[in-house]
Amino acid sequence: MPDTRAIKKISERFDVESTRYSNAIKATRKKLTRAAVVLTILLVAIIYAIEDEAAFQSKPVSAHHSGFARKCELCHESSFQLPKQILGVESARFEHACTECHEQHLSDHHVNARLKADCSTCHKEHSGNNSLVEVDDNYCVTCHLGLSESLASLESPKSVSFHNSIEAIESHPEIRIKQQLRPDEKNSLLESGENANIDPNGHFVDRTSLRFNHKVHMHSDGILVPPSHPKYSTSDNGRIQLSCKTCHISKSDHTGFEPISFEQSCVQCHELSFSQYLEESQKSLSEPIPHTTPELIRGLLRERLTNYYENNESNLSGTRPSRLPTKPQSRQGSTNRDKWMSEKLQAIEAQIFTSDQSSIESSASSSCQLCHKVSIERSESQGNPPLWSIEPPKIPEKWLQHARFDHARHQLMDCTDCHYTDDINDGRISAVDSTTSKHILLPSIKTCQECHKSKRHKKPAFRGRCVDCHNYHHALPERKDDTRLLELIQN
Amino acid sequence: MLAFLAMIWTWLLSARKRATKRQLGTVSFWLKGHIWIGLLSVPLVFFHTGFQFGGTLEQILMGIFLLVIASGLLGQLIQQYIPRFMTASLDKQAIPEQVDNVVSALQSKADGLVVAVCGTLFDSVESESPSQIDAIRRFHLTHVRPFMDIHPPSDSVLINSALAASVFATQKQSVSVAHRELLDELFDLCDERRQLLIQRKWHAILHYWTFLHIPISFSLLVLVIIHILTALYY
Amino acid sequence: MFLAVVSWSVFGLVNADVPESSRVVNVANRKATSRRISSHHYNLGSRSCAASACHGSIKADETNDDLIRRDEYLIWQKSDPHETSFRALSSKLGLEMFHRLGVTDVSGRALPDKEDEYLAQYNNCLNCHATKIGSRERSYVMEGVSCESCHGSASEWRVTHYQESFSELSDHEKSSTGYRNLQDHDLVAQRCVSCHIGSDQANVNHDLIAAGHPALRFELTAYLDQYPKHWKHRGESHKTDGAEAWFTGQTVSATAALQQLLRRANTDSEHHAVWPELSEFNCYACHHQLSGDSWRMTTTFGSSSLKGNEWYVFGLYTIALQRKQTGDERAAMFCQKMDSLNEILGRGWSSDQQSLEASVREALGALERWLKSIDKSEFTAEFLIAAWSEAVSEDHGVLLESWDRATQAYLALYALNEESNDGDGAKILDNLESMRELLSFPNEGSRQLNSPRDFHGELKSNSPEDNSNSTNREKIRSLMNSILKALNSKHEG
Repeated sequence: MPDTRAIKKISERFDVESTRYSNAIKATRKKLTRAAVVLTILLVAIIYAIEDEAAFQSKPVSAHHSGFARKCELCHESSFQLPKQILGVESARFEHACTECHEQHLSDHHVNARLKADCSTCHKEHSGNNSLVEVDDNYCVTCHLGLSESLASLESPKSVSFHNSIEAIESHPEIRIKQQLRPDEKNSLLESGENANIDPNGHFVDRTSLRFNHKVHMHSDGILVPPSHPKYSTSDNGRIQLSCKTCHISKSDHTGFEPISFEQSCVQCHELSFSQYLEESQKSLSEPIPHTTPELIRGLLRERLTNYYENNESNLSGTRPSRLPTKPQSRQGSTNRDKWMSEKLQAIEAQIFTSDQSSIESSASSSCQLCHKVSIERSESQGNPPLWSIEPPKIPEKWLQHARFDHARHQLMDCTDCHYTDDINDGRISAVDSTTSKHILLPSIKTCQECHKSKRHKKPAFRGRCVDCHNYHHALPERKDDTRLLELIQN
Repeated sequence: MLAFLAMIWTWLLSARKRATKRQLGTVSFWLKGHIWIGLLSVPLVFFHTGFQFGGTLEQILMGIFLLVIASGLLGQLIQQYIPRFMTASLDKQAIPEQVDNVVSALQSKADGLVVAVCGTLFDSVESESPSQIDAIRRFHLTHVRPFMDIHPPSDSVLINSALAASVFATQKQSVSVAHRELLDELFDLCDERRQLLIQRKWHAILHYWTFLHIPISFSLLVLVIIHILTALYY
Repeated sequence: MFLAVVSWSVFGLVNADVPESSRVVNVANRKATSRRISSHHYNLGSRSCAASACHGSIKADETNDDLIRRDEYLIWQKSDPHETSFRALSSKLGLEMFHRLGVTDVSGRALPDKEDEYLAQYNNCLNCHATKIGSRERSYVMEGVSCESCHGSASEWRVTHYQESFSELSDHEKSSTGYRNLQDHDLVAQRCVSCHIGSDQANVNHDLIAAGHPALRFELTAYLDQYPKHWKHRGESHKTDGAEAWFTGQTVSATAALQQLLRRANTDSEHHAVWPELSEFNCYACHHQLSGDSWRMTTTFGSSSLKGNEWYVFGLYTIALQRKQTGDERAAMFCQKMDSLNEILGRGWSSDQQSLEASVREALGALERWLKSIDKSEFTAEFLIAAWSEAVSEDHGVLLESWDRATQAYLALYALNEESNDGDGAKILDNLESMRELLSFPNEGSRQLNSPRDFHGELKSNSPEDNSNSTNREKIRSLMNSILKALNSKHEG
């Protein structure tokens, strides 16, 4: 619309002085801006005064470190840590501060791990009250997705036959003990050599020298026990039914099972005594001997024989009259004693270590050879009895070298759901049917994978995160003492 | 880091707006850059924070950042639409700094018109029978003149144009034809005055939004710098 | 050279406190090292040997790798009669002895004015019956004849003797540390006789025997045979029977006995001994039955009525006689000197002490010279058996003139038989057993007699062909003859 205002002259209506006046808006704005800046700084100062340096955290520290939330310097050991880290300054890594209190190190897992990462790579702090230990799978997969490359770059000394591509539990390799080795792989025993041997078919078999037949003991009809057994009862024809739990007793802290103890599980049926050998008068020697090394057994037997000899010397030692007619008849002590003891010792030991008696029905006692591999270390020589030796059974307490299995969490399952072996010829043999101790009664990883899926799976399943079974810090050094921690708490 | 850079750019823009000496491109270019990069910085900041709110400082920072963005958007909207609206609806605008001056001139003009017809402006003699001239004079003193003040009374009937038209129409009916022209002229002046009033209001809106945007953007700047420093330092 | 000088000087110091006048005697005695605590070496006590890794284990070492049994302490403690020797002093017999000696009352407390005498007497007993532990300034007694009594005071060699360096030392060096070598019968016997026969510090005379002390009748092979052995049997030197062992025992015993006799007959002013010492005579010269047919009367009456103690010397005398036949002049001299000594002794109190002393000295000298001149390897079993056979060839009653002779012959034959069980050996053993029974001091359950009651009976004739068996002595004679015959045929065949 055209301007039809009535005012004619510009000069009449225009205040030429106006340009000289300062722009009120801008002036005010400037004042406001300055005030805002000052207020902001003041605000930050107030916040700092209230919260100290914690004001500058992106998020609160995890619950376990919350006691040190105000003491940033405990972890942030150097200033300008991020730029320094980027530049590769050694002291800016989150490593030293952590190891002040914690005994875990980067090199626990692999000696060269610290070249690529530091503690904060996997344990992200300042994320709220989460657990730093629940490390996400992604961090593990970072290296384990393409392990041979990572290993090559870290100059790994180990063989590269380790499976090198794991993304989730679905792609987890077979448990080492259950692997079937190819012919060219048999030469590399890997770490399992401690617990297992490799049979001609390339399968791992238990290395133990102990003989044990699960099937006999777990028979559905029960197993005969001697009358001295606490559970003996004539109503069951002297039979009792054993279960897995009878011998495999779980530890009180639920971290596994106690090692099988002879005294707890075996001695009630397999007593170690040698009563049959002795004459009636010497039955006092025939108390059961403890389940210990041949050297100690020999010592114990000697002690018993010596005691026996001394208490019954008159019956045992030969009467040797003194030659001198002036003296009455007297005996000689030591040489006969030695001879008698040596004979007895030899005979008793032979029975203990190698007798074939094993049947409980004949109420004979068991010999070591029933279960152990007995050998003669030094054969008899010049009247000295042979020296026996028993090969140590070497039953491992832990089969899975690099994983932990929580039995307590699986207690709704049956033992035989997992403890079986797959024999080439006979198919699946459960623990209850295993007849030889060569079987390694551990399941394949596929059994685990039946229930445990990664989070990408559609159907609901139990999670199978890396940290559920594995621990990065598996080679723990000695536990640090808590002085530093106490210092921090007390100050 | 990118978010930081975006912020730097934004801040520079405002500096550029004021630095008229070194002109590195037109203001409009800088303004566009300011707006687009400012908008880009929003997702950048969100990704930087990981869609989480952090500690105290971070939360304040985020709040202020959002305020800045919001006020900026608001301002953008204001700047986009109001001028056009003003141009369309107000044909009798004046230079904002001159508005007061113009209003005073209008007032004296109105006074002059009334004096020309009614003799004196302020007549203290109260006649018994108000003549039309008195009525006009009274009308002018009561309504028009106060309205012509720099700050008119807020209850003035002439603020609303429709009401003003009806008031004037009523007044015109009560006077003879000879004076109706005067009333028409007064009506025009009031109309102009009204427009200037509206203009002033919109002008304030157009400019006062920056009172929010700019100070808090400065405080945002301060906070960002503190944030960066502390993040790097610790 | 230097070591020799050092060890000689040490040796000299060790013997420094040996009195000058008895050095003549001690020259021969030097090998039988005194139990005196020297200023350098002292006893540590058996407990210091008894660590279970050393000599105190409860079981013997069965291997042949080690030289020692390891359970020596236990054997000593349990079976060795030496262990009880100290306790014997306070045993019933011991207390009775002190009482009979007149130094204590019945309960064993010293009599008021006899305290010094009692102490002297007690200390005298300790010389043989105990081991003085600790240094001279602070010594105490708590155990009987223990390790160091025979093996030497261990203060210097306890921590070195098991090291290789110790075994490389010479005998001389070893003995300078106080370690006593007991590696052959000679050395062993010398240590035994220093208590069991006597020395200048050990003198079990008739007073003590009268008080109750058992008479000393040592014979090496018999004692060794009975001794609970705390060593591993290794070769000849550990044999308890056989020619070498028996002969060595005889030589050492004879020498020691004569030396003791010399001490007891000593007439010089400082060590003048009181003569007669009754234990130097045959016990049964006085202690005999009063019945008429005692063998003592038949052998001693008329001729030298008292007999000297033949226990220790007779065996060697018999051998020397045989050597005389083969032309050993020194042996002949010894026999001659012994004859004259016996003659003087036979005169009893009527011979004077000085001539006795001279005679003893001569006899001892002759013995020493003879022993120095012989080569022990010549005294084989055959030779010794022949010597004994020869002794009875003309008069087979000569061995039966006294119980001592007969018993020595029995012990000699026992040792020379070497306890073999094969064929003839078993028969010999039987005969020896029978001999023993006839010679024994009978034990009647509750009491042990102190003399050979069964050694009696007349020998009808002394002719070799006489095989009569009616009296005990005749029985012993015939047993002896058959044993000799069997032994002879064994060694010929």
